[in-house]
Amino acid sequence: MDESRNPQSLAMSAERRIARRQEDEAVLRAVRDGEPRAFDRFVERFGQRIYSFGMRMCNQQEDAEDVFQDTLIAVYRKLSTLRDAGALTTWLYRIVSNACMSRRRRSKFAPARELSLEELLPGSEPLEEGPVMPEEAGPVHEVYRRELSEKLEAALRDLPPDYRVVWMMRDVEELSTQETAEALQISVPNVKMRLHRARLALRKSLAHLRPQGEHA
Amino acid sequence: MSEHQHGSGRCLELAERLSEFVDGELPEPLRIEIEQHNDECTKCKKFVESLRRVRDLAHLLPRPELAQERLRRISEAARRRLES
Repeated sequence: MDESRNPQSLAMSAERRIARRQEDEAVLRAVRDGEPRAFDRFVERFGQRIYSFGMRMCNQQEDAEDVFQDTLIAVYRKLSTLRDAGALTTWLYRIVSNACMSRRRRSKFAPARELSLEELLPGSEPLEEGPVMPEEAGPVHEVYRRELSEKLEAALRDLPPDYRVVWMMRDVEELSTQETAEALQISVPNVKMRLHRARLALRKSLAHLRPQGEHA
Repeated sequence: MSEHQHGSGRCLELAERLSEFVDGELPEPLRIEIEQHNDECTKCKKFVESLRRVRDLAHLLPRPELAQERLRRISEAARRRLES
């Protein structure tokens, strides 16, 4: 049976997401309510997550550090004004992505461009090609995992930021389509379109990657 | 019965919805249509599998981490800016 459609597997993944979301919201509520130690709890819970999001969006450590600090300050200055207590996580990602986009205007962040479906759908290459997952790579597992990970990082850097941010929110941070739309203040169909094109672009960049000794 | 030839207009139309398919976000009738289409079109089926692998690759990416000491310094600087 296809594992990704296995109801038990989907339920476990949903449970994990819900538990993580509840813990996130508890920390954000503590900040909003001005609880002692809330600042430290926020940094502990979100610091690395915000930094890594900033790193992937800006590609520069200095910009990612600024994104982290700008986000921290914005959260403290604005969280008390947030009316919808149920949207704390979405609101946080909106702050982080705005901080990233504002860096983009000031640094050498890649310019915005559109990805056309025609250039991403398989053309001359055979359709069945796509990356091989490390667990299928046998004894060269670890070497291949590193190579795949490096190529993925490079392919991600080549994605236009408007697509990269959607891929980051949906596939890395595991926000839902609706949450991503709210965080980025774009429509649900737009999120779906950008996510699909982002995945197609990554697929295309990694299509010929194979463990050593195998050929595409 | 003639064998399905990949690359028909329907293959291309359905290709636009395949991320929604792998995410389980399609309306039931379209989901069923894609499943039935993939039973006949091996290339579309393999394309879906490769798209699913790309989605799952996100978990392979190591998170870039900031040294704890640096994280603490930046947090302290933010705290000072908030208190000033």
